[in-house]
Amino acid sequence: MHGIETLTQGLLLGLSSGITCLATCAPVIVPLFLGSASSTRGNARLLLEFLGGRLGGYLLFALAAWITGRLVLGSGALGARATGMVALGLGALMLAYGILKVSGIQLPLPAAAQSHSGCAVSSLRTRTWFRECPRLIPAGLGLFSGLNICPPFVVALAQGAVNHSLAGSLLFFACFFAGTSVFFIPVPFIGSFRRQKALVYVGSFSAILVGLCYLYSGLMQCLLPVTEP
Amino acid sequence: MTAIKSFFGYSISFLAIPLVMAVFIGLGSWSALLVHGTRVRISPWFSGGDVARIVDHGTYVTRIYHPVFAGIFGQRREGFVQVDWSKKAFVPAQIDERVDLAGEGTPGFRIQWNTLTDAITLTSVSPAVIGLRSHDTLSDRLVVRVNLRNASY
Amino acid sequence: MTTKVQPQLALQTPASNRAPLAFGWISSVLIAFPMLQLTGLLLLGGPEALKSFTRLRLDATLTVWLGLNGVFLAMLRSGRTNAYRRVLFVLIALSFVLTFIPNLLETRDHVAFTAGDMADCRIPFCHMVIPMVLIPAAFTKTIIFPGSLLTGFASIGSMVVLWLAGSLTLGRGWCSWVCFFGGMDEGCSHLLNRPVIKTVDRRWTYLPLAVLLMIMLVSAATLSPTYCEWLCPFKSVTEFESVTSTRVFIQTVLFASLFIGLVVVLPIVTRKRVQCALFCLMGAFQGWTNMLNIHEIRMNRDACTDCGRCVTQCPTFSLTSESVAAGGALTSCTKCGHCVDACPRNAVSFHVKGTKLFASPRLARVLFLYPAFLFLAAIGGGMMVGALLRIIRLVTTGSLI
Repeated sequence: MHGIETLTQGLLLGLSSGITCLATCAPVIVPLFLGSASSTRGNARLLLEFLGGRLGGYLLFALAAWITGRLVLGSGALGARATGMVALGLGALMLAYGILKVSGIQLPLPAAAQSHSGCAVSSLRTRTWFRECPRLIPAGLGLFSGLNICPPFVVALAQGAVNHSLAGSLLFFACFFAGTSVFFIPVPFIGSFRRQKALVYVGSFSAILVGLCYLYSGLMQCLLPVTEP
Repeated sequence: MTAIKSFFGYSISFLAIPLVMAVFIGLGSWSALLVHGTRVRISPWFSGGDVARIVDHGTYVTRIYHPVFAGIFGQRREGFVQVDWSKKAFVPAQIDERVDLAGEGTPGFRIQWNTLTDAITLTSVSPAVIGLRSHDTLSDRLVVRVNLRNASY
Repeated sequence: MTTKVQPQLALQTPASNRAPLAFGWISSVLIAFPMLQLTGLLLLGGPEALKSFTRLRLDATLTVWLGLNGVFLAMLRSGRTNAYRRVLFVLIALSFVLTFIPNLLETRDHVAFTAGDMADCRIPFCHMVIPMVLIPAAFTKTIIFPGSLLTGFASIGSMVVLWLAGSLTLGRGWCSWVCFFGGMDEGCSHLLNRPVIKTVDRRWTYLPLAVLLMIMLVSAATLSPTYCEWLCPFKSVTEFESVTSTRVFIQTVLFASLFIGLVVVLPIVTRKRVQCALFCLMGAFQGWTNMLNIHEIRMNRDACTDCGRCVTQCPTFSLTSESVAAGGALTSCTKCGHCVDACPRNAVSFHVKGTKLFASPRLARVLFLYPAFLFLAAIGGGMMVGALLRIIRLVTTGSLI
């Protein structure tokens, strides 16, 4: 992926999954914002720190994804087929994720893996760190909320991995961050998160549609002949 | 205040009737105003883009269009170039055209098209040429689109 | 989170309970008279336009004109909206199919469009494309559709102008008074007397928003009308791409399946407008125009007994017990008038925003009916005339073309 395509795809993946990200993390993040500052300027500063931490987390993962991609996938025809297989797997993952979310079915996971919202922020260890170092809260929240291993994030990881250049991977994740962040911007200012359930369902259906797109793309990449540039 | 709101409410509601009539009666004018005012065009991915050069063969002309690489932000890695032959009645049954993409005298590709049998051959000269995208006989012209790599990407 | 789809119950109200919305004969004629003139102007045009009419076309147009105005008069006289609107709406959808396909065959000899048709930018533009073209148009000033901007049948300019006007005057009433596709699943939804599937999960009402979001974003990224290429069920009754590749084959199977499922089978078994309410991206998009529109549906909480009939009978899932308790409908309301007709207490009515609630329900209804019916007559009337001419041709010559 190059330049504008990277930007577009990253931004659009972020936008399409941002609702899901927000719906997953908001139940933890919104009360923390509400409890931290009282003025709009204070909230804006908190939000910037939060988003800064989140961006930092994403860029770290962009680096990790790219290194993994170079080591595992390689290039050429085999790389193209592998990319197709990855797309198929991701499509199935997004599809399953969306179906589980919209149906409300809970997987029988161990209690430690089940959190209130699936957001990394809510783990006991994370909360302990924040209690000991409250100054870290906004940026740290951002960093850890970005570590939410939800299927949209996994899809972004995979896209970053198949990128040929490190700059492309970083750009992709920066754009993915921008896309998801659009939905976080109003959070500190609206006081309460109304219609959260509606957004969860819209996000879940979006995940299903994204999954179907990836399934089709992966199928075509696996079945159609690879043309060398 | 209630009276004012009611007045405006009923007025706006009533005005919908002449608005609808004006829209339907003057639909052509409103459409032209919208299109010319916004200066929109059909996307070059569908229209083929703008004509870059015309090659005059006397009885018919060959039009070479600007390559299409337009993306929503900037340009794409791949696109196509459209070539068409107009004054269809005078176009020879066997088209053999060397298309100069950049207008520098160096052909980018060669099209050989037997319009009677619809057999078409694309011979690439420039490395930017990927392959044939489509060829069609329209009501007033013959059109070929050739896939290209964006050299400036 | 389910809505029980109850069997259509007979309206067991005395005739006098419908009096608040019905007009007397003289009032009905007086109110309908301007409509007679306005629709005459729209369908017949001026003296110059009349000169180009053949005798047959003139007779067909006069027949449709009188029929439409007869229905409007009946709407005013009876106080009922949906029963009459639905008949016209379904007739318009059928007329559309009867005119569109033969027109295609006459102008280009084939229903399936080819790459050449697209290269020639002669594909008629339908309103469903509008949500897809907005983002690319804003960024690139180009329309991502192989149509004509100003000339030919259903040019882009004319359809966008009509959509803007329809959205301003009707909001999502577009979906029940203008959209020539909506009559198809509405017609199918009334083929059975009782639903086979009585419960429809309300979570499905969020699918159109997801479809809208994804389609707008993907169309912007790919600069192509993705919904038209992949998901539009109505390609089954209009035009579609010639099957020349695996991708197009998959697309063909998909849209045919969507048509059979969403437009035919599910509306029949649920007695709901499934395509419109649970899939259509245009419907989701139009929901936002309801916020701008001056007309709305309101419930009189003093008269309402919370019987729930309006909630169960709404064909587009636009009423919930919560919304009724709050005195209104959701933004997905298509203003079809079904709830207004169904309420046994006359507690549901059209309302003009900003005016006093329930002060003049008849006036509010007429003020909505006028632009809605004008739109229906202008767009649908022309299609009905065309269909009538096709039928006459079929009867006299044995061919529609």
